[in-house]
Amino acid sequence: MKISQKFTRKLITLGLIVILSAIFALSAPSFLKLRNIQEILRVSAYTGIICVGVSFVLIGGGIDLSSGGIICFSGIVACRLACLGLPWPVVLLVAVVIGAACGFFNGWVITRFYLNDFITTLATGFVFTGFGLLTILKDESGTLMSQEIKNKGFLLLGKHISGFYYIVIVWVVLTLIAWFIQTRTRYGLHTYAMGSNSKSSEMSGVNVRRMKISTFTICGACCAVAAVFTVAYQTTAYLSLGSGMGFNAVAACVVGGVMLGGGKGDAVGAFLGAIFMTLVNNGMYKYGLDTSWQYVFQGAVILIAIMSDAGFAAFTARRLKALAEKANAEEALLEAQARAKGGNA
Amino acid sequence: MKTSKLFATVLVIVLALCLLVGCGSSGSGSAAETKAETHDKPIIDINGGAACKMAYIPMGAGQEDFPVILKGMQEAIALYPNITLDTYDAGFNPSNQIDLMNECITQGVNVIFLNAMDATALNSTIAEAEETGIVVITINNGASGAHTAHIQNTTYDAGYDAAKYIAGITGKTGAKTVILDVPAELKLACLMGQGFEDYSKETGAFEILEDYAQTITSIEVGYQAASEVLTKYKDIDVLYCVNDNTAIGAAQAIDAAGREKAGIIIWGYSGTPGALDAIAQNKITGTSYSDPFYEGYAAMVSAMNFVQLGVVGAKLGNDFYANVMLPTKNVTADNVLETIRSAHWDMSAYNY
Repeated sequence: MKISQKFTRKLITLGLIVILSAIFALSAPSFLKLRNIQEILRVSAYTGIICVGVSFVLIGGGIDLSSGGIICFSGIVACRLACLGLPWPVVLLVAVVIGAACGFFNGWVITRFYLNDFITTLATGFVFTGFGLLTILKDESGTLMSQEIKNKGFLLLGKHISGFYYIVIVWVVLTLIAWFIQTRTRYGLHTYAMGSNSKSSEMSGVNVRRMKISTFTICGACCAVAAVFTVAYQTTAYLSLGSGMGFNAVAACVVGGVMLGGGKGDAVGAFLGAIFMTLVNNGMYKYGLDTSWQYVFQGAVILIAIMSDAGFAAFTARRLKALAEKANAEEALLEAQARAKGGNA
Repeated sequence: MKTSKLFATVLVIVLALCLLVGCGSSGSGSAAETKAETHDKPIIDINGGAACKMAYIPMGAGQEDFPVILKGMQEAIALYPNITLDTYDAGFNPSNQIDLMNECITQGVNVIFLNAMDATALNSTIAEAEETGIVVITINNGASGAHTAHIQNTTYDAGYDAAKYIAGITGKTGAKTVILDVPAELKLACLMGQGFEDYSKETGAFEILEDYAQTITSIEVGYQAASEVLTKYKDIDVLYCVNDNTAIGAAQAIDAAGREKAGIIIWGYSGTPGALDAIAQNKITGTSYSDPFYEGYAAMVSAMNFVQLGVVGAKLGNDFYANVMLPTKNVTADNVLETIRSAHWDMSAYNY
């Protein structure tokens, strides 16, 4: 059976997940506890939903580091609205609109002023966190207040039904939708084309500007969804909500096979990447590793995953080149034979 | 190619769903079981030699008083080989603290010590831990939800006492004062500035020119903040800093500005090695000193009592938790050397 390169890349990540799980299960007795697995999936879902959005941006050849800021801003807005007693669909809708608007702004600024994605989203991330600070509840003297949500309808979003955390269900559904869009629609095709070669795709009629804005908008909306479910679970929102998530989500996507340069990977890879990243953290907690070693180990695992990805890509490229050379050689041979036959005749 | 990809996706989803279904049946069951459990007998018979597992989750390993608090805890259990204490680093992130709390619940620890990064965000996890019979004790930064105990050094009283002491030094009313306060989000938990202001309102000893909320408390930020207020106000009698690092930064800023330091009183909070040294060198006037060792020790002794008694906050009712406030003392050049001799901070970097 011939296995495609894309599928093999996912198999590698899946294999790493299985190997790590086996190591942790054998060495840490609490790893296989059902509560632990439930937790791994809940935490993965938080990163995973962001990864769904980030995967669109990365496939399209961009990068979004403002995810943390968007989560902070939309999460704080959701918290304030939920505290007002608004029903959860309204809170979710408003938060998603805000997240999408932030993403739209990212895309618009980048394409309108031809700015670099990395620096721009790094800067807008600060702007969105600042909006969060402006929105968060304060007392008369300006002291930030920790606001506890008591809106039971909204808090249900953070609960689970027979062990199914709602955020996990949403994650799976969003991943499937994103995967379908990326691999089965014209929009997906255009995103890959834009990520592979922006100029060529523009010359082929793809509206690159609009496409880029849309990928950032999707990313912002996904960040808001993750924020709402996390706020519902934590029953509050705070200023450091989402901090570090921008880099985490990008790392998870890359580990899952979404290429930083664009044009490769999909939401299913990002799904696996999110599980992998959470698994690494969860395993390290079990070992009770010293903090310094936790950072070293975490970085090293990501590095190994990326290196294996690069190694695999190089191997595939070599194989393709060899096949092409072989095909050329065979063609040349056949041509020579045909010429020889013609000469004899 | 398409079939294989579809198959892999379906496989991953089915695996995830299987895991979730499994979790579901056990998750709700265990919660019900543990809720029904009573704690009339010891959670763990520590004195009888039964193994007891404890975890300490500070805000981050970089938290300055963390090693000293830990030292206090370790000393309290020095004679109990059956007690193990693990520490976790939340990296100053409430989400990480929640994950670590969940991790500790999964591991089945008996006691969790916590420096909560956010007073509300950890409530549901704390409640879950207590429901499963885990003693949760917060240190310094508490949580608003019910839990077994909270241990901290006084903040409001420290500010109030410091103001009283400084008023004695200035010997006048309306001494021009700037408070270099904690970041806005920490103001609820750190009430030194509030205590200082209340004393000022009661006696009129100070004229508060500004309550300056810093972004973070560090020497660099203290330096910048003090430089700013020194430019803004020509006459300043007191710089009340709610953190020692800020006080050290403020002293450096006064030096850099070429201002006459003798005329400005700089006061800190905590009594870190750097601040004690600065007081001994007459760089800052004084600090509200507390030894975090005793916080750790008190937290551990409380935990052992609660575990042995079989008491968790959840059992005692939602409104109850033991709230232990440890006093601070004013340390100035007069008593700094004796304080250094008795301190549990690591003073090896200084020559005392």
